[in-house]
Amino acid sequence: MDGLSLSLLGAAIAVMLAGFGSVIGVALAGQASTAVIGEDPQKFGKVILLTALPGTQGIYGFVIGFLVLLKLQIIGGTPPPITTIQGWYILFSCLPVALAGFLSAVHQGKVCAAGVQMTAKRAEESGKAIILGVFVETYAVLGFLASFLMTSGVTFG
Amino acid sequence: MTPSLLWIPPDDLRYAHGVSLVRAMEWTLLSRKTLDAMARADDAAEALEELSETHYASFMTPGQHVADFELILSRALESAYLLFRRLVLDPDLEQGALRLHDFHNLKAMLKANLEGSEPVGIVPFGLVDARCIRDAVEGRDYQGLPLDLAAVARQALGSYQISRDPRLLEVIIDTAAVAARVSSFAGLNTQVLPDYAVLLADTTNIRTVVRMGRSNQDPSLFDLACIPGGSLPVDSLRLSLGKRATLGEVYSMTPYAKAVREGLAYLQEKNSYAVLDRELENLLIGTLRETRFVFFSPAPIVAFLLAREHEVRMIRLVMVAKINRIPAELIAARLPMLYA
Repeated sequence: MDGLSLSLLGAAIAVMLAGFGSVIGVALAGQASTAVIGEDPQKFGKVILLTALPGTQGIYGFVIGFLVLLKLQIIGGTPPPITTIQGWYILFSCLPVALAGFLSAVHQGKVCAAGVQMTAKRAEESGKAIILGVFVETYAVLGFLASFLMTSGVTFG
Repeated sequence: MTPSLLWIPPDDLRYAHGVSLVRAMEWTLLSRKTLDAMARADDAAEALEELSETHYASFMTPGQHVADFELILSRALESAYLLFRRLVLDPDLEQGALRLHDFHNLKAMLKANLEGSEPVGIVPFGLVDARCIRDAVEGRDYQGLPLDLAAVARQALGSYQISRDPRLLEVIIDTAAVAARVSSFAGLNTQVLPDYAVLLADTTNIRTVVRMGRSNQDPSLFDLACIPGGSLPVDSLRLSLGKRATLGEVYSMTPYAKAVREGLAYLQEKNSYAVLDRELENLLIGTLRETRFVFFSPAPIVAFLLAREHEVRMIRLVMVAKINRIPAELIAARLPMLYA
C-alpha cells in the first residue's frame, strides 16, 4: 500500500471510529432522555446537554481527519509525494483519537444515560451528572491532542 | 449487551429507555409518610381521601366510595402491568413477574369448580387468558395450558381427589406460583434479581415453618409447601418445624436472625405474625432498593413493578384495617418499609 492510501486510511479510521462511538453514546443517552422527557417535558433543558455530550468525540475524529486531508492537500491542491513510512506515520497518528474517541464516547454515553436517570428523580442534581460525564470526556480530549500534535509534526518533501 | 467484567453482570443497554422511564415515574410510588397518614385517619373514608391526594387520584372517579377501593387498586395494578409488559424485553422476566397471576386464577377456578360455585377474585394480569384456564378446568383438559400450569393443575387436582382437602390444593398451587417466580428470577444474568429470588424463597419458607410449627400441622405438608432455590437447606428448615422455642437460634447465623427473633417475640407476646411478616418484607424491599444503583438492566423495571405490587398490598391492608376499625398503632406495627 502506498503512503497516500495509508494516510487516507488513517483519516478514515479517525472519523469512523470516533463517529461510531458517538453514535452509540448519543443514542444511549438519547433513549434515556426520551423516556424522561415523555414523562416530564419540562426536563428537556436539563437532559439536552447530557444527551449531546457523547457527540463531541465524533467532532474530534472529524477534525483530525480534516487536518490529515489538509496536510495531504487533498482539498484544494495536488497531494505531494508521500513515502510508505510517512503514510504509516500519519495512520498511527490518527489512532489515538480513533480509539480513545470510540471507547470514551460509548462509556460517556453510559455515564450520561445514568445521569439522565438521576435527573429524572432529582432534577436539581443534573449539574453533577454533567460533571461526571465530563470526566470521561477528558480522555477523548487527550486522544485528540495526541493525534493533533502527531499530525501537526508531519512534514512532506 | 456489553461484555461482563469478572463477576459483574453485563450491562444490558436495551434497557436504557425503560430504566429511565421507571426512574421518572418513581415519584408516583407512595412514601411511608402517606401510608402512616392513611393509618392515622379517623376512618376508611378519610384514609381514601389521603390516597386521593397521591398518584392514585388518576385511578379514581368523582364520588368514589370506600367500597370501591379494590377497583382503584386494580386499576393501579393494571397500569403498572401494562407499563411492565411494554418495557420488558425478555420473556423469562414476563414469566417471572406475571405467571403468578395465572396460578392465582387456576386456584380460584379449581376451587370454584370443585365447590360448584362461580370463581371469585379472577385477575386479568396473567399471561394466559382467564377464559382459557376456565375452559381447561371445566373440561379437565389441560393441554391448552402452558406445561408448568398444566402440571400443577393435574397435581393439585390429583391430591385433592385423594385427600378431599381443599387446603392441600391451595398449598400446591401457591407453592408452585412462588417457585415459578423464584426460578425465573434466579436464572437471570442480571443484578439484584437472583438475590431477590433467594430471599423470596427463604422468607416464604420461614413463614411456612413458623406458621406450620405453631399450628402443629403434619410435617409432610412442609415438603409440599417448601420453595426450592433458597439459601437455607431444606433439611434444616424441616428440622426446625415444631421447635418454636429454639427457632430463633436455628436462624441466628443467617440474614434472617433479626426478623425471626423479633417476629417470634411478638408472636409470643401478642399472638400475631405482624412483626415477622413486616421484618421479612423489609428484607425483600431492602434488596429491591439495591436496584437504585443499577442503570442498564431489567432489574429496576422489575423492582418498580414489585414495589407497586407491594404498595397495593399495603394500601389494601390499611383500608381493610380502617374498615374494621383496627387501631392506628396496630396497623403501623404491621406496615413494612416501602420502596420509595
